[in-house]
Order: sequence, then structure tokens, then C-alpha cells
Amino acid sequence: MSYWKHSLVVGLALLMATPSVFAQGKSGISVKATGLVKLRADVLEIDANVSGSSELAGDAITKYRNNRQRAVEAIEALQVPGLKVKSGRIDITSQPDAASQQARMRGMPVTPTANRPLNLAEPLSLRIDGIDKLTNDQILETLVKIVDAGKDAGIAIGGPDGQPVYNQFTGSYQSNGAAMVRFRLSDVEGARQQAFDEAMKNARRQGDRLAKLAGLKLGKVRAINETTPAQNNSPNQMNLLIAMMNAGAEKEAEQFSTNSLQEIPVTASLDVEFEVGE
Amino acid sequence: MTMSNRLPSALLCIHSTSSRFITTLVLIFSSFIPRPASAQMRVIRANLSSANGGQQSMAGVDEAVQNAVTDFERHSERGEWQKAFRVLDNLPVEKRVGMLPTGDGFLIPAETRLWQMLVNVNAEGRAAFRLFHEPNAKKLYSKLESELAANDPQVTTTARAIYDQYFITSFGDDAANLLGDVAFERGEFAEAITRWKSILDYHTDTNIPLPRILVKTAAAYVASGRAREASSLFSQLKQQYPSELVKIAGKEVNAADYVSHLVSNMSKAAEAAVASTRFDLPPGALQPAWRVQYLSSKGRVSLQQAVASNSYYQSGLETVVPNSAADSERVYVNWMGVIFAVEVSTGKLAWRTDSFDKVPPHFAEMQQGRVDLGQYSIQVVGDRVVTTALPLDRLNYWQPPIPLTCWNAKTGEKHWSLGGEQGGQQSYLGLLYPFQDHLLVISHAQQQSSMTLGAISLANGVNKWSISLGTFEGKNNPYSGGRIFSVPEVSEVGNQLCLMNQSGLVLRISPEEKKVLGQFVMYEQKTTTDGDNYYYSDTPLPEEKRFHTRGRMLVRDGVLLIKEVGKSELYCVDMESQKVVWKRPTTSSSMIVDADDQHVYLMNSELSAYDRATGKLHWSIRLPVSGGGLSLASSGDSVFVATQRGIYELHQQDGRVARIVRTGQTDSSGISMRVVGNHLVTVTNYDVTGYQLSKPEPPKSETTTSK
Repeated sequence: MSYWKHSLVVGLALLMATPSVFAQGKSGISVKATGLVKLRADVLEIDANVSGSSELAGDAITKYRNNRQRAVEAIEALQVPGLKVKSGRIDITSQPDAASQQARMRGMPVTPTANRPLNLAEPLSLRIDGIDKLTNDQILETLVKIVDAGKDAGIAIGGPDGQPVYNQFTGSYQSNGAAMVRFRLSDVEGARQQAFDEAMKNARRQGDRLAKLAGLKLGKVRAINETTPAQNNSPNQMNLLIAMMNAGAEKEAEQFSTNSLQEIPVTASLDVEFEVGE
Repeated sequence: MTMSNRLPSALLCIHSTSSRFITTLVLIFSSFIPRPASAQMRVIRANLSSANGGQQSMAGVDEAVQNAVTDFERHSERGEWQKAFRVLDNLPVEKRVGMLPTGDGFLIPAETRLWQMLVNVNAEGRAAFRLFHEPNAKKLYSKLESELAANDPQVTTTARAIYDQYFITSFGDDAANLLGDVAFERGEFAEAITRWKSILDYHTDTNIPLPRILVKTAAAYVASGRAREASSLFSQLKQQYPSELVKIAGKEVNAADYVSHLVSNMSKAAEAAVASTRFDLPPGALQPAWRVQYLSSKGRVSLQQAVASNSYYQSGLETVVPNSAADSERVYVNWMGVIFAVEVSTGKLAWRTDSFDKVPPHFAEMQQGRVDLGQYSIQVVGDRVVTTALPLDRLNYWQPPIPLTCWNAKTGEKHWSLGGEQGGQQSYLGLLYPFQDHLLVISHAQQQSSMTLGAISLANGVNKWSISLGTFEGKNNPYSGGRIFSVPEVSEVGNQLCLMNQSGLVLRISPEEKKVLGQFVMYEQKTTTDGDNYYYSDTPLPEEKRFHTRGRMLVRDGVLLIKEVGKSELYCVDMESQKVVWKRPTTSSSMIVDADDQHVYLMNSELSAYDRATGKLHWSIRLPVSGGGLSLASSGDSVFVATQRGIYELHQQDGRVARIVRTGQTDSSGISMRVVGNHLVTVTNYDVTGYQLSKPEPPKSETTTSK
């Protein structure tokens, strides 16, 4: 009898086979459940870039400092609540001149020149916290103010620069279509916890259903595993990919960001095995 | 008897010429009276190179003279003074011809170079020279005295002979002083400065009271508008001769106080001139008082299509802003050969030479490089407007000659035209420089590279005089063939003209003598003149084409500020003393847009302010500039730049943004600005707009920053 019942549970579970629910094992119910929560982004980030370039290193530094000072002053003068200017690294590169670039593209030898300009560039992140308390209109208004002030101040908004780059595969210049803004969640752990809670609820619900079908009672959780969601609902696939390649708390946050002003989906997936009773 | 007493006091003392001196000073200060702005905002493609840069136009280096210099230097180094001076003796004045290099880029007349060699010999050499040549100098000096007594006009010739050949004898200082006085009386202040300064620099044992020479030199500096040098001499007087008296107009006055007074008056005159051009932008956004649209919306679409369909050519047509000029009443624009005038007070289109609709059908030809966009120049002089423009119906011809045309400024009626198909195939470059009663222009025969500088009468177009400038090699037009000649620049330094040929050469020209006096070579000419012509899909427009930058040369305090387009070097050059004051690298696509007391401003997508005295970069800011029409206006402690996002008012001292005044011209792809009367006039790539300016407020003690 017991064997028959267990077989029935397995059989019913297979009949109900969905990506998220299945049953296996000999003396319990095993389900795969996904939890999905949609949260309003509370952080707005704008990527910007300030730079200075000149043949003389001293001039490049003067230009970089002037541009940075003016950019930061212009942004701070907006007095947007919660707005912070976050700086990261300073890239110091020596730009090849146009002739050298073209020569390289054509596969011709590049003659080194002594007067290649020195370029100092600093990516800035303009971050506003607490945007979940603002309406969409208020967010857009703030965004427009910042972008306008940035353009007035000569900041390259949305990426390193707007200059098209040569694509050697297509043989043409292509514009860098980097997104200007990013909406994200500040409390990633909290968001994931909510998703797990939801996933657990779903697992229990599914387990209950299977147990009832088998005329059994759902018991305690015997085993639980976190799994990769079968289908990622985040609209920012590139960010997910980047996050997977660059493990780390900060990079993980990239998963929960979007370039659009919309709710951010957070998913969690669990494999849960329940005990069953008569 | 002192040396200074040998000459009649009439020629040695300022008081003897006081009436002329005062008259001259009046003239000096009257020169600060503001004149109507006549500067044109030309958009010039300046990327030519020349094989010999006009050196054919002047006497070259004479081998005999060059050998003499080499021999003199060799003997001098060995201390063989007798042999050294014999070299000079064997080179009589009439054989001291041609040019000689000075080693730092200057080619100067052999006579001047030999003089410099002589005055730079060491003390032993000077003593030797006096030993050998004092008797000869004395003989010439006696002749000079008798000529003075007889009021013989030969007196200056004799004085010049003493100066040139025997300056370091005990008579050279007196000859220099006399020549300085004569030059000052003639109003040749640069010449006077040179003569008097030679005493200060090379004849320190002179018996002529140095405070007197310093005062006279300072007066000449003031007369030629060189406040910085005059102030420097004032400091010298104050430190070394604080209580020395000089006689001015029959009165004994303190030398330092007198120079201080001159400099102060000059500063006041300059301040008054600046105050008269001061303007303020009204608070809030600028509302157009009037607008004249010369390129319709349909025309703009046509332009975009022509550019898109012919993107390979990359002519920069999409960002070009037409050149304009202005007098106190009207703004004149040269839009691809259609000339029109707009009344500044009302915005009324006063006249035009053709229908605006005739231009758009030719956009494709223009984009295909059939025309050099830099050659459409315009200048207003009095009641005449002068233009260079290729007629629309000649765009499809190979290397067509560009005519020079003169219009009536009030009515647009054509007065005269030179060159072009109907004018002997002579072609005019875009240089249109008003000089005295004439217009200086540069022309060449069709398909020829030999250039001529001509002075044209504005009244009837008759050529009054001309100077050959030699060959400008130019650059191949990579698209349609033919040659492209960038538009040279001309400036006046003292009584001389300096001409930058956009090929690495600055010529010093005497309009009086109609000859080239010297030259400054910035770089050797290229042997190849054609650049690469590779094209990649969607290649960004090169900055020089996008901004339509051109090489410019400004004169400030008697020195030249030079930057050629396509070259990164910015020069500050004193042509008088043949010195490169400073030289520094900048961005090749940037263009000199202005210079004030402190800064020289260069602009591309950045506005950079370099210290005028040292060339050091003071500040630089990035601006949302995306096309041609690079220009700058100054008022008080602010500089103004027109951009697509509005007019930026920047603090002159540090470049910080005081405010941005929106103009609503965000869809323009190039914009220039100028102040005409009480209007700010902007010219974009499709319209001309006038904005009413508010009356300037009194200077504020503090400037607030607002967004």
C-alpha cells in the first residue's frame, strides 16, 4: 500500500510537470518553486565622464581639473536632495593622433610620435537615493535638470564619450549607444529575501497540492536548495551577464537594475523537499 | 663739451618739438576712440602648405654677405679684431643687401644683421673697433654737424650711416638719438623706439642723460599703444631715477611722474574705450527682437540630404556659418555668394544680391568639394561692402577664379568687380583688409600659385600698388581637383604690415617702400601637399572642418599672436626685435578668437585662456559647441560665447560660468555672435537673429553665480 501511494505521488507529480513543480524521491515531496517580487527602484544613477586632453601634460591636468570642478559645481548647485557625485578611477592614456589611428585600421605601421596628447578621464556616477518616494514625474523632472546641467557643464553623459568608434568587423564607424541612466535597488539582500520568502510560500503551496492529491499530509522540510531561476525576468540581460562574470556584492547589484523607469523584478528559485505523513 | 651738446638742442630735447609732441600725443589718445566694429567672422579652411612660402618675393640670402658674416664670427671668436673689422670694411653699405638668418626663424635684412653682430661684440672688440674707426666716425659726425647747421635734408642719411657702421663708437648714440627724434616727429613710433632703445641696450656709456631717453622711449611706446612696455620703463625710472628732471614743453618735470602721467592717460583712454563697448545681457532667457531666416526649413532638409548623399566628401557644409561683417547700422552676410544686409535696429532685410532660394539647389556641388567654403569673405569699409564669392553658376567649373566685388552698403548696388571670368581670370583669396584709404587683397592668376598683395582703391577698384609674395603652393582639393589656398592674415605693427601666409611664414612688409623687410619662418614647408584621403563609413567630421577653424594672427602691445590652422603651435612673436617671446603647443583644431590684457583665447569645443605674457594655460572649459562660427565677445570682467545651448557668460579670470542665457537656438549647427549698437546679433547656419541688450549696470563689487 505504502509503495502504491508513493508511486501515485510520483505519478501525479510527473503529470503536473511544469518548469517549477515536480516531485521525486521515495518518501517525500520535492518541488521546485520560484518567487517573484517587483519592487520600485530607489536609486537613480547617471554615468558621466569628465576629461582633459592636451599635448602638454600640465595642460591636460589643468583642463581636467577645470572641467571636473565645473561639472561638480554645476551638479551640486542643483541642490537635488539625495544627489551624490561618486568618483572612481582616473584613466590616464595617451591618445594616438588621427593619422596613426587610420594607419592602424588599414594595417599599416604606425609611426610613434612624441607629441601624442595625454588624456585624463574620470568616470563619475551621479547617484540619487530615495527616488522610490518620488512620483515618476518628479523623477523625470530631476533627471532632466541633471542632464541639462551636465550638458551645460560639458560633461559627457551616458558613457566615456559620444565619439563614434571604428568597428573593424563592419568596416565602419558606430556610435556608442550607451544608456544614460540606470535605476536600481539599494537593498539587494532585502529584495532577494522577499523573493525567497515568496518562493518558499509557493513551494509549500505546491507541496500541499501534491500531498492532497496523494492523500498525504505535507511534513517538514527535509532539504532545500537555492537554484538558478529557470527564466530571468530582469530586462537588463547585459547587466546580469556582467554580474555573473564579475562576482562580488557590488556587481551583484547590477542584476537588479534597469535602464527604464519601471518596477524591478527580483526572482528567487528553490528546490524544496518535504517529508510526507499518512 | 658733452656728446649730447654736440648736436643742436633742437634735435635733442623734447621741448624743442613740444608742439609736435603734444599734437602727437593728442593723436595717440584720439586713437583710442572706439571705432565701429568692422571685424569679420570669416570661416576659413586653412590647411594649405607651400613649397617655398613666398620667399621668392624678396631678395634672398646674398652669398658674399653670408660669407662675410661667417668670417666675422670666426675672427671674433679668436679675438682677431683687426681681421674681423676688415671683413666689414670690405663690405660697403651698397653691398649689404638681401636677407640673413638670425638662427631662430627670422630672416632679416643683411644690414640689420650686420649691425647686430657689431653691437654684440665684447668689451675688447668694442675697444678695438673704436681704436680703428673712431676717426672715420668723427669725420662723418662733423659732416652731420655741418648738415644740421645748414638744415640739409641729407642729415638723416649721414646719421643713418653713423648708426649703421659706427654705432659702437662714441658718436653712435647721438646718431641714434637724432634718428629717433626724426622718426618720432614723423609718427614712426616703432622706428623711434628701435633707435632710442639701441642706446639703452647697447650704448650704456652714453653721455645723453638716460632719463631723457627713457622718457622719450616711453612716450613712443604709449604712442604705439604698448602700455606694458611703457609701464616697464616707468618702473625703471622710478627705481633708478626717482628725482631726475626732464624738460617737457619748456617746463622741468619729474621724469617718472611724467611717464606715469602718460601711462595713466593711456589706461584711462583704454578704459573709456572698453566702457563704451560694455554690454550686459538681460536677466532670464533672451527673446529675439527680430529674426531673418535665409535658409528655409525646406532648404535645411535639402542641405541634410545633400550632405547625407555625399557624406564621403566631408566638406563641413552642414556646420558652416556664413561670414558676416557689421557697421553701426547693419549686419552684412555672405551666404555662399548671396550677399544680404539686415538693419540692426529693426531686423528689416535691407537688401540682398539674389534670392535665397537659388542656393539650396547647389548644396550637392558644394558638399562635393567644388568650392572652398573659406573663400566666402565679407568686409565693410565705410559705405562699401566688399566680398569674395564664387558665382553659383560657376560651381561646377574646374578651379574657377573667384571675383572681388564691391557693393554699396546702403543699397546693395554693385560698384565694381575685379577678377573672375569677366576680369582676366584673376582669382582673389578671402583676405580683405582695410588699410589707410585702400583695401589690401591677395590675388593670383587662375590655376597659378604666384600671389600678389595689392592695395585696391575702394572708390573705383583701381590697383594702387602691389607687391609680389611669391608662390603659395596650396593644397590639392582631394575631391574635385584644383588647388585650395587658405586665406592669409594681415596685421599692422607700427607702420609696417605683417602678413601670415598660412604656410608657416610671416612676412614683414613696408607699405611705404613696397617691399618685404623681413620674415619669420615658423616651420619648413612640406614637400608633399596632399593629405590622406581614406574614407570609412560614418567617419566623424574632422574637428577642423566641423568648427571651420582658421589660422589667425592678432597684434597686441606690438607683438604678434599667431596660430595656423592644422598646426598645434601658438606663437607670440616680436617682429620688431626679431624674438619669439614664447611658443607653446595647443590643439591643432583650435583657433585664436580674441586676446585681452591678460589672455589670448583659443577655441574649438573648448575655450582655453593662455597667459599673454608667458603662454601658460590659465584655464580651459569644455563648451557645447558643435559647429562653425567660433567667436567671443568681451565686456567688463566677462567673456561671452554663443553656443547651441545659449550664451555662456564666463568669468574672465578663471573661466567659471557666471550664467547661461538661453537663446532657443538649440537646433543650429554653428553660431557666431557680435555686438552691434544695443543689439547682440547671432548668425547661425540658417538665420540671423537680433537680441536687444540692456544698458550696462555699474561694476559690481561681487559677482554672483547663478544658473
